[in-house]
Amino acid sequence: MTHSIIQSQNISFQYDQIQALTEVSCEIKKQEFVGVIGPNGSGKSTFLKILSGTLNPISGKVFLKEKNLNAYGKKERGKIISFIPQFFAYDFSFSVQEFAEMGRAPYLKFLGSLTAEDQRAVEWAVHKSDCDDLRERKMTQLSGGEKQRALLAQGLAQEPEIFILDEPVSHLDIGHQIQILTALKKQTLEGRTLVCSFHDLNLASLFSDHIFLFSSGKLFKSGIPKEVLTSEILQEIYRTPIKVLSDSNSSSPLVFPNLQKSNFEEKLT
Amino acid sequence: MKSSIHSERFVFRASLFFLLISLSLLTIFFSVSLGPAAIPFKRVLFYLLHPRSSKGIFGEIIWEIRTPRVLLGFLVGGTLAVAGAGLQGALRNPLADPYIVGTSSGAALGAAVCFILKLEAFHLIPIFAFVGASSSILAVLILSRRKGELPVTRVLLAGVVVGSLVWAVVTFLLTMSGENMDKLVFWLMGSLNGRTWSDFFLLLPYAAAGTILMMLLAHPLNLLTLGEERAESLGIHPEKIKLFILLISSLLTAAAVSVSGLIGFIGLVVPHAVRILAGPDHRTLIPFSFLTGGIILVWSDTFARIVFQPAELPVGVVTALLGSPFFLYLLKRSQFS
Repeated sequence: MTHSIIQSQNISFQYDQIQALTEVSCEIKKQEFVGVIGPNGSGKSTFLKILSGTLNPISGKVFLKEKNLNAYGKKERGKIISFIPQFFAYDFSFSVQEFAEMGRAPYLKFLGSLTAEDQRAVEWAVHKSDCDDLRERKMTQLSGGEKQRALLAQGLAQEPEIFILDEPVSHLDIGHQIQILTALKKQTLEGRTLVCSFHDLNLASLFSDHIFLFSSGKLFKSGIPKEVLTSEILQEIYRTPIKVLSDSNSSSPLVFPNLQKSNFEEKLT
Repeated sequence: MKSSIHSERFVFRASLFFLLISLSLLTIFFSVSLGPAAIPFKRVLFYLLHPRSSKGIFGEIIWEIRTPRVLLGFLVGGTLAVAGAGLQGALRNPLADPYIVGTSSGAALGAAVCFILKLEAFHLIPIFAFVGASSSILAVLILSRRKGELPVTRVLLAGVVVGSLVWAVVTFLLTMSGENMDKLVFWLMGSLNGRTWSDFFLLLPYAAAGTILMMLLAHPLNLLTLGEERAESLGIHPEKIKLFILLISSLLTAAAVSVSGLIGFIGLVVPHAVRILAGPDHRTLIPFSFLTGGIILVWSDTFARIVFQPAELPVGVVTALLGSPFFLYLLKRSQFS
């Protein structure tokens, strides 16, 4: 299974004269878990939006299964790609069950009633995202971790082949981070491809098969975690002293700020 | 388990629907029964059930004065509530209402222009009002849009600005036109006084078409609450749907304003009350808001016409008295970004 499922060719984008993405070309293989990292404003979100087709690049092309992404109808695309944007405030008091059912939208006719097949998919998605006990709860009453699980249920109900998520775990505590990412990682075993942006480099290292490192709108480095997460590269990009622990047995290096408390205690005095 | 969730939901929604239908009928009946001329309930019921034999003064009062006014009030209330529910969903803004975001004033401007051009006899008021309403909502969106988003507070501020500007133009035009100001001012303050069957039949097609279109868009509206990017990933064209919903909402507002002037807060309060009762799913929210809006406006109007008789309050004053504290409560409770 080393088939490329989605690829971008020289995609660029700018917001109001500001260059957000410059000539990014990449290839993502089926069933891979791709971690997207980079400093704030490096173009991660823009890249994910273009990859999911919710934003059109100014130049360049995206190919989904060797067909131009623009050639897909929105519903057709919605059955293949599920994009979960960065976490947002949600003021509507849908129950988690209703919220998950919205994930079936690409499969529904205009008025949106669920068939038995749709109900089965929702049931499965609710279960896989650990929302069984939440289904009667209202979205407005959930904690951050529970909301993220409900979003996951909605995304899974789409039964996508590619799941694209923009920082799904950035606002969560470490327990919930691992819970959500484990549920996502399991989806690669069921044949899905995952593209997921991270702030936490260690989580990216732990869960990704492949990492894209962005810097100033460019894809600076792409490779397995060991190749990308080196102290030279990270120090250059993040402009801070960084230490990387990596032994030959483990495929996921650990990243630390290379500072002692005494370093800045000295500076403070 | 899954089917029990769905059948429970269905039973709950169906019961609520029948409850609201019954309440609507009772409301209409009681409101028609109440008024300066004391007509016993039995007679009222008799007249309502036998329109052909409604001769005499009581029959005239029931059929030519009270019934058209009450039915028109019901339709106006329902129309404004549906317009508000659509606005709130499409803008993801719990504080949106045709009165607050300036569509009502835009509609009033259109209607005033129609009056001044003396075209009101040709049933053109709703069309003029629609042009005014949709232009002002578009102006509000252009003014409040920032980085492709519509922040709640900016929409409200732009609504206030556009609303006041348009309002000033309306007042100026009406003053210059030398029309009968008392009548026009009463109309602008929102009133159902002296409305007849012809007003009812002027509003009916717009109210029906707008409400049905809004119901057909109920599921996309649910998706729009998720934000444009997520909605797009679920297979809809968020920009198109949003624009379409805003236009339908403007049409509903315009039609209501054409026959009853500016009645505020129904579009704000009713969808909120219905969400608390029945949840935010627009497939129920739209029809339930229609019925609840009708019920609340008919009671407000009943209050407006009988409490200080023989004098009468504009019903817009009553809805503002009810609605503005509620708006403040929502403003205090919601968290803006």
